[in-house]
Amino acid sequence: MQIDFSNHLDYLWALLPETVLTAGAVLLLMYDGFSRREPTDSRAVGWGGLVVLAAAVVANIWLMGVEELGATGMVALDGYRIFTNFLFLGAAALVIFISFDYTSREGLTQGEFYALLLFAVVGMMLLAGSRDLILIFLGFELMSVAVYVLVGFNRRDPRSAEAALKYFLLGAFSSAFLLYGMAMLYGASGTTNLAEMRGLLDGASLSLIAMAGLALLVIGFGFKVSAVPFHVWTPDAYEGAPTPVTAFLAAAIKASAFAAFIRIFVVALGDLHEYWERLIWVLAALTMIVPNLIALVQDNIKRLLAYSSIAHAGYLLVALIAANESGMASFLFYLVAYTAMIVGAFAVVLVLAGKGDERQRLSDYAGLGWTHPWAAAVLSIFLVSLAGLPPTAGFVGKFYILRAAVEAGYIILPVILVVTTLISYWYYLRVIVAMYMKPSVADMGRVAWGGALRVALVVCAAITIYLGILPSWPLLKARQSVEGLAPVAEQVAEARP
Amino acid sequence: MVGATLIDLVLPLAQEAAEAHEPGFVPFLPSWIVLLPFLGFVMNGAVAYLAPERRRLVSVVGPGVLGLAFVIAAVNLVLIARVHDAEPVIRSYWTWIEVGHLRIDAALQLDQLSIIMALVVTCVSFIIHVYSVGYMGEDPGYARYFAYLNLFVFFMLVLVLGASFPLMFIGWEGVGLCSYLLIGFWFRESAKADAGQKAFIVNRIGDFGFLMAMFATFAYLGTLDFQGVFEAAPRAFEYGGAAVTLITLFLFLGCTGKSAQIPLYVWLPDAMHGPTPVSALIHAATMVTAGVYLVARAGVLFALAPLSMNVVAVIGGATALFAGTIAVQQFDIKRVVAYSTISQLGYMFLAVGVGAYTAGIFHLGTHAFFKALLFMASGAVIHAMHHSLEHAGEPAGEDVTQDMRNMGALKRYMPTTFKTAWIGALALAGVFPLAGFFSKDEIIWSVGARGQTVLWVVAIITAMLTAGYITRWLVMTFHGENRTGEQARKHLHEAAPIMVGALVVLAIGSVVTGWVNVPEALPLLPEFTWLHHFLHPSFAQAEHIIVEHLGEAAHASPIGGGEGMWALISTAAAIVVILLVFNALSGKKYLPVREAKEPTGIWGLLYHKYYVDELYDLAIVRPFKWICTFSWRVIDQGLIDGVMVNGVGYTTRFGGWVISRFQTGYLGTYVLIIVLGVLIMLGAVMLQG
Repeated sequence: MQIDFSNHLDYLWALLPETVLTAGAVLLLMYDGFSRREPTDSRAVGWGGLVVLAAAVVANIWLMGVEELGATGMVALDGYRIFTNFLFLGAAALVIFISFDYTSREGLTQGEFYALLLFAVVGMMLLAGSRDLILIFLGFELMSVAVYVLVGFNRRDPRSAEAALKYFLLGAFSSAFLLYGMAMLYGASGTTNLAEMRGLLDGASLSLIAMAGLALLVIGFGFKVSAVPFHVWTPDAYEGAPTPVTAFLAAAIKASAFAAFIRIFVVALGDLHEYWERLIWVLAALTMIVPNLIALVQDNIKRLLAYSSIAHAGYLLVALIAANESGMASFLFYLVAYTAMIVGAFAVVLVLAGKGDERQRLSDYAGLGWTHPWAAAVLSIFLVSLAGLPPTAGFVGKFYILRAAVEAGYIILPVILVVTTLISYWYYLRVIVAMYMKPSVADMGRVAWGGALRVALVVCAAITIYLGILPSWPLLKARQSVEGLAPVAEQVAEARP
Repeated sequence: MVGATLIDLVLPLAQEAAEAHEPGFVPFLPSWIVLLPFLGFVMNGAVAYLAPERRRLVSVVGPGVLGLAFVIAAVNLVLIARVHDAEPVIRSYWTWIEVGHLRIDAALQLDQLSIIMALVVTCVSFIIHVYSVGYMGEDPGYARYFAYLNLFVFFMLVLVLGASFPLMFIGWEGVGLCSYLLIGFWFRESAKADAGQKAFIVNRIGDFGFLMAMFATFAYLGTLDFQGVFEAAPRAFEYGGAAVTLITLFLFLGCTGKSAQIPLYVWLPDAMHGPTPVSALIHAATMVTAGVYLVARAGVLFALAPLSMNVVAVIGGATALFAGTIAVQQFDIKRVVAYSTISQLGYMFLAVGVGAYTAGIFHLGTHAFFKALLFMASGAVIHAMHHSLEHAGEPAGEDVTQDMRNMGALKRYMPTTFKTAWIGALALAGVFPLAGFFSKDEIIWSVGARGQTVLWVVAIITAMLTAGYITRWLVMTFHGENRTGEQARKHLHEAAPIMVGALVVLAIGSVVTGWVNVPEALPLLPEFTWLHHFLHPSFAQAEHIIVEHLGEAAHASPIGGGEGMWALISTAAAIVVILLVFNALSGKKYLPVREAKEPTGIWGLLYHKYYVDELYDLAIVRPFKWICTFSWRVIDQGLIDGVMVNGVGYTTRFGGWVISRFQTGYLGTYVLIIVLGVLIMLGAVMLQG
């Protein structure tokens, strides 16, 4: 099918996955309100959510065959959007899979949980797939509001409420920066469309307003991707949020904010690379160094993974700053790898924590390799991958990011990446050491592994290993997905001495 | 697996459609030759892990997969033999590595050389697997044993069929691993575990050479596929140039490790601690011949480096003589055969070193049969000795059961083993009309015809030595008086039927395999150089280079006489030696081990294997240990661990602790941090603008 954005009705087609998701989420809410299901079990709603996600996947597949006439629409129809859509949908599905048991265990059986998840996904897809600042902000807020609620979903738990409040206040605070930055860019260029903005802003006559707008945008996105020093909310929110939501935060939310970040900075502001690269350079360096250091002294595994996730934002910033085709391809590749390994790691943590999320300290993991060999083995796979050791996805992903950065002529940043990765081995391997080389302190007893959760774990582990051993095909797909954005990037690369 | 099968089945159809008129060689399910042993490994491994008592299943699966693989290999042999000068077929299944200019496919190369090797490997493996069903029948690690053995064959076939150096290296390392696992199969006895480690470590030295050769090849030629390398080599390398000489010397270093040549042969005699079928399969018939295969496969490279060719030939000849002399004065029934193997491998290197590739591969094939036969006959004897001593309640350790001074006159108790052992021994000695006669004669002849007079003499002397020590082996084991002891003697008996059956099959192989290549010059025999013609396409390029630079081989030996005459002389010499030794020794009285004295003088030197192990220990192992201890205590523990690792670690953690103080949990602090960050960033932008 062909889509012509001058005909406004065609937007409905171009937004088909989002439309499907929204309609499905509303239906899910209505079903939850009117059905007479057991109040202690929200499984049915969760399965409904999965069906909706599947429908959205179908719509997204259909979108692959769509052609675009003219390029002035607010919505992008490129491989980049389709790739990220698949990623968000897959991440959401994994999160639903790991939520079933958790929600029953912790008594979070309100059906809104799943509906909110879907609404957040709609926001993410709009955020990553828009070509217009207005729509990007709309998606940003849609996602954020849904996630604020999800973080505080466990109302009876003060930690959850505290996390939600902190996240909400700081989030609102930073949204203002983002919006202000967008307004300034609009003021400087007279358009909100990214493609047009690119033509209107050039380095020679760059005004102070545009520069300030640029910096404010960096700050706004820096908050959502939790770049240092705008990361302060992250450990508290991650620790307090219900664990599936933490996984969702760490994987999908970060991915979507990053996707939009890259789209704006490479498409609209690609020619201004020399102006923003220094800002991002500092952010990337800080974001790699600080959390990796702090993680060394963490004792709570959820918090440790939170800092790990911040550090990974730093690695992704390196891919962003490279701004060449291999940088963006490695970025997409890393997002997939990262999603699989962080969701998997949180899933294991979620199960082992037990009712009331009691067991989250490192000492609880001592001797796990002997009492729960499978759990320890699977967790080790994810930790090894997060640390970036072969033969796992994390290694290949980091390798590609390094290569992209070196190709783009950066030297010090890759060195920082390698050194901080080295530091990070300490705290990842510390968990593995505890599991295999320390005697068990307290018996964990039997741990309930739900069927759906097992599926999610197997999928995550399989992706982690598969990407680590046979990365060629996924990388090829990632490369093809960024081809639409490529010419921009290559000019940037050539322009640099 | 499914994918590989589909490629095997669909690709020929597609090719046929594309080039309908050209009838070429279309391999038949080549991937399954490799996959079947792997399947066997998976199944037997699962049994070993889950239900070790399911022996019947293992007995069927273990040998069964190899039987099937042998059938497929045989079908492929027939298919390729029907096509005149068939081009090699590369079957690529997926891209394994793609980095920069390096692209390595998981591909199999089907050509005359690889298929004949695959046939030998699957055939001998199958027979030895069947034998193992009897030999290992009572071992508690039965399933584990067959899992390892299947895995070994899988890697061996990857080595043989792989279409590039890296793939061959996978097989090369894989067989090394399995060899290590199987030598140390009874790892509860420390001597056996140590032997496994010795083999592993010595082989690492050789592997270093292989790796260096690969790196250099890639650096010069930009590819590692066999086809690509051999096509580009004559253009890229100068004849006798430094680059190609270096590459081939490194390759040969790898061969000396894997194929137990001087100076890295020391691991092979110790490898005899493994179960005897393992010695037969890995340390006689297949793995140790990988080096010969490698030199033959890389024949083009070696042909371009005459210096390396000479090194190969000289090392081969020296090893043949050296190991042959040691074999004369060994008393362990397996060690005699082990040194004989080293010696025969030397022959093969001698052959490929003078450019007689067909002769080398020919001897490799015949040797696989008669040496496996000799090993398995030894195995049957050891088995019998072990049982009888155990029944008699006497110590039945390896040092007792394997010492020939405790045997003698076993022909009475084990008649079939005795007869097959004689066939194997005659084949090894090169007596007409057994297999060894044809292949060894061809090697000696080729060496002479290339004008290598010294090596030619060495080869002839070694041939006579061979006849001598193997006759001694026969006499001490099967003839004379029995020295097993009164009690144990009553329990001596023939091996199980399944083992005897395998011996008989191998004996038949030892008789007939020589006839695939009957030289034209032999009087009274029809000329039938099938193998030579069959392998010709695989070696044509290398032989062409040799002829171009060194000229045609001569038609006479260094001191005159044709091939036919020398064949007669050598077989006559072998028979004379056999008769002399037989007469001299069958009257001699040996004392059982506990009464015997250590040999002295020259015999002592041979008995102690020229003290090479002790020399290595003194010159290499001990100084190395000193260095290691120093590095460990002073450099590692003191400097690196103490100052650097722990120091850096503590500093870093302290830094983390300091920064983590900012994570107070108070919203106010957080806002402050964010606002500071914003101010700094905006300030930076303003100043910049």
